[in-house]
Amino acid sequence: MRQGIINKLHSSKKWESVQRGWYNFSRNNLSVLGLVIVLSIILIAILAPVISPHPESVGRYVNFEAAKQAPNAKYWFGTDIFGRDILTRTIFAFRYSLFMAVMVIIMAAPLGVTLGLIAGYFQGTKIDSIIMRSTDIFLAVPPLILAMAICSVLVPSLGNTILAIGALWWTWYTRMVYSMVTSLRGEFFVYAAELPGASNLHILFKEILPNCLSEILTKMTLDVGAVVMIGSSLSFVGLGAQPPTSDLGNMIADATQYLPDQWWMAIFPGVSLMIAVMAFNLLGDGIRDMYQVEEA
Amino acid sequence: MKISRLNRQITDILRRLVYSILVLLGLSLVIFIISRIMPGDPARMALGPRAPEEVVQRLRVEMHLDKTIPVQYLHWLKGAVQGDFGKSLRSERPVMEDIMNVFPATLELAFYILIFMSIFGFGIGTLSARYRDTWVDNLGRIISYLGMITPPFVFALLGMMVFAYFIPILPPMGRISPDIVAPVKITGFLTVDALIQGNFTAFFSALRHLILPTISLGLVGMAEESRIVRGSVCNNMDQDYIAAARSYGIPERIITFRDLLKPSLIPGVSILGLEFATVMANALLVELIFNWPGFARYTMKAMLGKDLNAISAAVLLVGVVFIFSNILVDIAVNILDPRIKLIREREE
Amino acid sequence: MQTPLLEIKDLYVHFKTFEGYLKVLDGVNLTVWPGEKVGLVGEAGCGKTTTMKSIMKILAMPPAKITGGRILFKGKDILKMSTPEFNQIRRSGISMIFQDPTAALNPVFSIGSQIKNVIKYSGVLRQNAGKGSIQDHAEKALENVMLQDPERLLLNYPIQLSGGMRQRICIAMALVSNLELLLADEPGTSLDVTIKDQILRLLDELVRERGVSIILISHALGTVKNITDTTYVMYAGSMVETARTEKLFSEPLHPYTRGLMDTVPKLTGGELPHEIPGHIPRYIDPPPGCRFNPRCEHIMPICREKKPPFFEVDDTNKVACWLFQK
Repeated sequence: MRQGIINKLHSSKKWESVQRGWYNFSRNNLSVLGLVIVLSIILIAILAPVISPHPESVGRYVNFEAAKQAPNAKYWFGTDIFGRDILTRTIFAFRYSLFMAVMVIIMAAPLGVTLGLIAGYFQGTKIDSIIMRSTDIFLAVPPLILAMAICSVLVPSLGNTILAIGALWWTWYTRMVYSMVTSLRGEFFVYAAELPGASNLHILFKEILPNCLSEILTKMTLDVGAVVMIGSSLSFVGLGAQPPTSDLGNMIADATQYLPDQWWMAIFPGVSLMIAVMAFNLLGDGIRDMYQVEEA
Repeated sequence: MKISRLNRQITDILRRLVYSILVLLGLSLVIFIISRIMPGDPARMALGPRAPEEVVQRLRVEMHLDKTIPVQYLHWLKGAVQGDFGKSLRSERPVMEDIMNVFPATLELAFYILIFMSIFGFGIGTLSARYRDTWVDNLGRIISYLGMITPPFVFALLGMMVFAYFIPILPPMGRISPDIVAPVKITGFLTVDALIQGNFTAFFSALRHLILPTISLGLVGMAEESRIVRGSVCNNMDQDYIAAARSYGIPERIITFRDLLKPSLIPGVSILGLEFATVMANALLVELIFNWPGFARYTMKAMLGKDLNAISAAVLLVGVVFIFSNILVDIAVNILDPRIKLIREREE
Repeated sequence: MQTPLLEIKDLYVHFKTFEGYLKVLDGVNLTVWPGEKVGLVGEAGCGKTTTMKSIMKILAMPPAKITGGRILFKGKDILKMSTPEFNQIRRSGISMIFQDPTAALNPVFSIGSQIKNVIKYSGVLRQNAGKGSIQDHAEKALENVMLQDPERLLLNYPIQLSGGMRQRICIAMALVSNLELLLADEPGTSLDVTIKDQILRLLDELVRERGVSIILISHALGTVKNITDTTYVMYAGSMVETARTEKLFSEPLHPYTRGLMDTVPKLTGGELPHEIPGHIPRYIDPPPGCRFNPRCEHIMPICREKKPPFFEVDDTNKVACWLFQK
């Protein structure tokens, strides 16, 4: 009954495709789980200052009486050697990592996609060669290594980290969009658009791009997890976030020397990292499913 | 006809090699530029704030820091081509020499990682596919999922904690126990050298030390592998040509290991190159954690110590290894799946 | 009294799917005598391929399940046989030609490699046959299906060959062994008409030369008419009529068969062909009784209650329809 009313209200095609998308997405329980966790993480990150139990733990703070406490009622994740609440620091670490990852992707994705579109559309010309050879250079070395190399010669800071990772991250998008565009170029709808004289820009953005969108969105989601991992790896070795800022990586790094006795100092950030990465992976898989055409 | 095909393959490989060299040049240029435009004085940083000015000045001249950047690059390039990457700012020895010292340790690790990823990846994937949707499959998928989301350095730490401290059965650090006499260095591979000399204590010790680092680094790749192999085997299991093979009366065992295996391996092998790249990247952290005296740890320390010559050389070397491994993977894929070549031939 | 070469008795097969059980085969009965050429016609989706795959025991068993019936080959129930035992029959008893030759060939192995594999296990060779002998067999197999330059062809991969060549190679592989029964599932369907014609002629010749029996499946009536001795008509999972081919075509009895014959356009004028109204039933929830009853003009109450068995009109003509109850 209610469905009927809703159907009447949103009888346009767009709503139907949203519904179908949701149906495809929600068929897999894990994707929904991923979505829930991701939304929670985002919420936690945004509301960090408000919801964290011991906000003073973020900065330079010492309270040696409270130091090295195992998880208890007051400090759910325990405290570190300075007496700072690990739960709070973990929450702010999420905030930091998420912010960095989102910034990187905001930088890298549009740039990479645009370059890929251009290179693909002008396939075979000099423009194509220039763009794709540049990507080859950046892809010759695994991203983590290149990011570390760049970070190591720059002063470690949030901005530089974002720049370093972003500077090489766009190449993946360019590569991906390039291969999609070149395979789509021969499709009829492109010819059809060319016939009445549609401009190149129009074809690129109105015809080709929507078809690539599903892959791009999937990748962007999965990338958040990947960039968070790289960011943590960087800060683990001291190339990313600097103390007193907490990032999952440097929290784990600092905590390694206290293993195995004060296990909570490393385990909680570590497990949180894993859960975050897993959530984004699940969400990304779900988004990919969402765009799958139902097989008859 | 066969000969010309071989010719074409060789020219293909040569072409790729030349292209790769160009790419590496580009890469080196990028690294070089970044390292030279950063604020700060490399010579001063290397020697510390207390070194006298003339010493620093001498180092500056030696490093050609007083010349323009293009000139500096050319100097560097000239050396690089001859294998001379300059002197390490930390050790005062030629960078190349230092690298050659640490390379075998990482190479040995990489070898065992490859075996681990292949055997377990393909094994779990195939079993999962064969017993599709049973508990075997579910178990395999859980393992591969956990493997994929665990960052290698987290696993390394966890593993070290559990197996070296809580239940001390594995050694936490190094390549071999300090109280064991190391075998004479022949290949640089501890396990191989130990075996050759019949030194079984050393062999087993080296093997035990390899376990944690290998699994830490290989886990992600193995998980990816097993997922992809499972997908590809499942896909191929349902194909008509497998049913056809059965209908000719070919024994099931032969079908599994011949008709099913060859097409299924292809996706798995194709991504081996990418996975290897991840291994290399994560080795930086894992070697640090386990104090593994290898190339990755060396690179890490170079980066942290701002040892420019070492960093440039290391990144370049990584590029070389990566490109080389990609070429190997491509050759392997071409052997497994002749279609790729044939389609290209048809289009020419 | 001869024993039939193949007897399918009351075969029931269902498929388990997400929505429920698809009761695809609903009591299939079919008999093939030695040297007989049998045609099997029916619409797409009526269960012809499923029946053939059941005979070869290559149905994908997780979704599919044989829930009843027997299949006797030379008197022995093959459904009860173990795999090693049945493999003997697959090697030198029954062979199958698949509908889509491209899908039936492994894309990453050369033709030679695949056909030699079949030869090795077919039991045609002596124990210590050398490579040369296998090569000879392979080349001869290709020559038998009228393929030129077999030596070079054996080195090729399926992707390099045309559809017609692939179909011939599949036929060649099926005929490698000393088979007695050939199952040909819509040979030539995916090819253009002239090539299809050649393929059918080829099949006809080979079958005649070697004296093997054949079950020739097609959804096109014309294909079957010229080559076969006996024809079965299948609808929605069971046989509705069988007769000697000429008789079936000139005097169809079952309402469905009559409808089918009506759909064939006749060159000698007359009206345009009529379609049979309605559509094939959904196997999830098939109609009770005779599965054709929703579309039948002559429907009677009993048709909705009980499924008609094969009634013998004469020695060779059987109809599964209550109209022909004695």
